[in-house]
Amino acid sequence: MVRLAAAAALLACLSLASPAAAQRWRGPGAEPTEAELREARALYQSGTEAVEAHRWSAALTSFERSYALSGASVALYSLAYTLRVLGRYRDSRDAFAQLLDEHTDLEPEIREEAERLMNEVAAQIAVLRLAGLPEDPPPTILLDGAEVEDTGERPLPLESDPGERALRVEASGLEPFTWQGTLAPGDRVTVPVTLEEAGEPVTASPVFWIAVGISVIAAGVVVGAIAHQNAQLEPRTPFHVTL
Amino acid sequence: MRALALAIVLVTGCAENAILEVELMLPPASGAVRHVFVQTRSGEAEFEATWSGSGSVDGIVLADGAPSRSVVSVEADDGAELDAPLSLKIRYCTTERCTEVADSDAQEVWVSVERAFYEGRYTQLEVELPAVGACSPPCATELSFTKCQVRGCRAGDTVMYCDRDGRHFCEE
Repeated sequence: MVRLAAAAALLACLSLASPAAAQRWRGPGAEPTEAELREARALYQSGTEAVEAHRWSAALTSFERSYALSGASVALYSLAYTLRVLGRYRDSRDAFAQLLDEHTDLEPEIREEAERLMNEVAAQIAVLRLAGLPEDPPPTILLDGAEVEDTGERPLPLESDPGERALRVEASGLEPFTWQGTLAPGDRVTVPVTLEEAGEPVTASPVFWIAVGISVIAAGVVVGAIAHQNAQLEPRTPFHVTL
Repeated sequence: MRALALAIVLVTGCAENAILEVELMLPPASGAVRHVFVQTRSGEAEFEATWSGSGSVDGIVLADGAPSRSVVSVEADDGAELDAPLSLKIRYCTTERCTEVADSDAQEVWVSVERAFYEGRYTQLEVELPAVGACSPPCATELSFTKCQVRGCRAGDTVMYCDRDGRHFCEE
């Protein structure tokens, strides 16, 4: 039952739009050599020591490299756990989901713990629901500067880790829409996107060009007057008289 | 853009004024006479008349016991002034602007220059002034200069500043 729930949660999560496709961690392409396994073990040991020292970023790097060499489930589990600690809930959930999906030989206790942690981190993920998005032409959606895939679903659900987020929606011929806000863990926020007709570019207005022309002429006259003044001969002696 | 170019052309270009630098070789001060007051007029002026109004330079002081020199810049910025003769009335006075009663009969030097100005050019003229008391006031010493004696538009020393055709070097 727990496994079914996990699978359902995984499917639900993967159906959400996200700034990048669901993260997948790549294992070795072929059976690892003995040397690769030795290195993977050393990296895993290094990662464990980093965890004990609360050097989570270093631990993450070690676990990622260890998994890439060995494909060992224990490395992927540790990787997912470290992502959870770092607050990268979306990546953590994806790592746990990959573990449950690809490593069918997990010990039951490990699997059960992985499912529990995956559900826990999935609950931390905030979701922005973008209402009012146009469908044709499809808009360009940027979350924290990264382009997000528009699945066509309306309102469009958009996953995000908690924290301050910046949203920008652009569509051809329309004024860009921007939103900024702070998302708490597990928030579900609906953002009504309003894209208004872009006004005529100011450069298309004859008034603009008339104003530019007047300004340029005025500047030219001023410059010319200064140049004229400078062009006149100046007296070079203390005594000076003008006729 | 045409309007801009036109506006710039209208207000820029070469200098339209001209300046004659008159180098006065001053005599030493003598008695109460210690100042030189210079008045200028465009054209052939009536030297006997009293010149009033603008176009004057004061503050030139004669040195004690020795000649000195002072240079006055005379500026013309009108087309008619450029072509016209230049007249200078130089008065030897006891005060800077010749305002004392004693200055009413001041010794004077009347300087006539055939042509002094050329548009956009500096020219120079050296005027050797007579000594204080060279004549008994009221009196005047007349000095005339042709345009060819006005220095300008040619480097180095030369007696004449005109070519064979009588054209001043600044006219070329």
